[in-house]
Amino acid sequence: MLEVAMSLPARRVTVLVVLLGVTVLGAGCAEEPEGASTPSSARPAASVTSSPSAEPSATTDAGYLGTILPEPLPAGSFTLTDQRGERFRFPRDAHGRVSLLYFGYTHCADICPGTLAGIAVALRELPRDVARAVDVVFVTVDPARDDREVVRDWVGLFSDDFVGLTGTKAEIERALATYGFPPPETYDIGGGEYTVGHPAGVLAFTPDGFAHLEYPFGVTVETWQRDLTKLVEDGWEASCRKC
Amino acid sequence: MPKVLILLAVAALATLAVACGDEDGGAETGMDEDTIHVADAWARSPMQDVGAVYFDAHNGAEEEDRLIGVSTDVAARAEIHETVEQDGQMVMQPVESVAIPPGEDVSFEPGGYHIMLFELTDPLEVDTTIALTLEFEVAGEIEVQALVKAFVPDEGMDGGGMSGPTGSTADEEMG
Repeated sequence: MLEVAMSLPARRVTVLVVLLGVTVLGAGCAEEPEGASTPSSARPAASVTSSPSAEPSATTDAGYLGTILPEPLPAGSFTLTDQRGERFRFPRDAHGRVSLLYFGYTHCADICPGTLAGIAVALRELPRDVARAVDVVFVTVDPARDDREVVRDWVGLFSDDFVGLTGTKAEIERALATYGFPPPETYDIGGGEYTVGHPAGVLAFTPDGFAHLEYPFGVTVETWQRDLTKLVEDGWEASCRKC
Repeated sequence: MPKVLILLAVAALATLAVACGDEDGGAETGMDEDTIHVADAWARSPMQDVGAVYFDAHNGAEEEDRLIGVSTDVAARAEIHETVEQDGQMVMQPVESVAIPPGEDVSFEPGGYHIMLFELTDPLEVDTTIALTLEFEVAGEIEVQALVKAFVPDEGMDGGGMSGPTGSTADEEMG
């Protein structure tokens, strides 16, 4: 189909010269955050939200905008190689930290980079003491293409503070399995290219050793700022006695 | 962040700020109404060899049209893709065509339909535009200029950080 399209003579039925100018100018003026209408993510275990909207319309009982998991997910632990070539054990061994965990891959041009960019912008605008209490950990599900250097360059697009992890296929499958995720499936799209399935949500682990919240694709910068501030300042237990 | 990137981002944001002021809803006026109109085209590229393009397509005609192909000089391959949830996983997959029902708008946006660019000829430069030709079944070929946006707008544009009104700009950059 593509080949056909490319070989067709250029018969421009409509020339949108005027519109193009407006198009370019208007590109940044969307009122809704892009992607906000995307269906929510998630493993079956996390599909508590019945709303197809990625951005919950109301806060939870505890005042969080993220999706509360039906069962808290233990942080467990896994070890992979970070972008500096050092072994990194998740979650980072430090008190009082919130860890955001996201599985994706660098050839994912659509949602993976958007997710990390949203977190990066949110953290940058938060007070320093809050931002510094949050670890953002990206794990590639595509180790065949995402070696240490590729992951380093990729996370560097978003923040120098993000941790980017890769490893062997077996190591990454173990990391996924820690949270009930299946091994990544690849989809051949021809020409040597392939896409990779990956969990859509970002898991938020708190110092109590669990993830109680998951953030589907499409959450806004404001959601990240509000929830991360609350998680860092109040902790999960204090803010969610009745959850 | 290298200085060049900062400058590019500042330029991009300045462009957006001007654009938002100038908008005044002129987008679809004065046009031939009974065909496909493509607006708000923009692109992002996280790495050198792939990119994604987004836009809104409006069908002003009284019959359904379909986006059936895309071509561009900036990449070796350009395809219509869709991000979908499949067995609890997010998957990006090619689609043959996308229907644009009569009188309706279809948004190509992060997390949904988009144009995937593979094997970029050159890295996409923020704040430049790239040209694509969208092929519709009925309307034929429509050329589109897509503005390349940054994933993370650089901070410190005016030394005042990114709070306040720029927060909404930041929002747009995620997705």
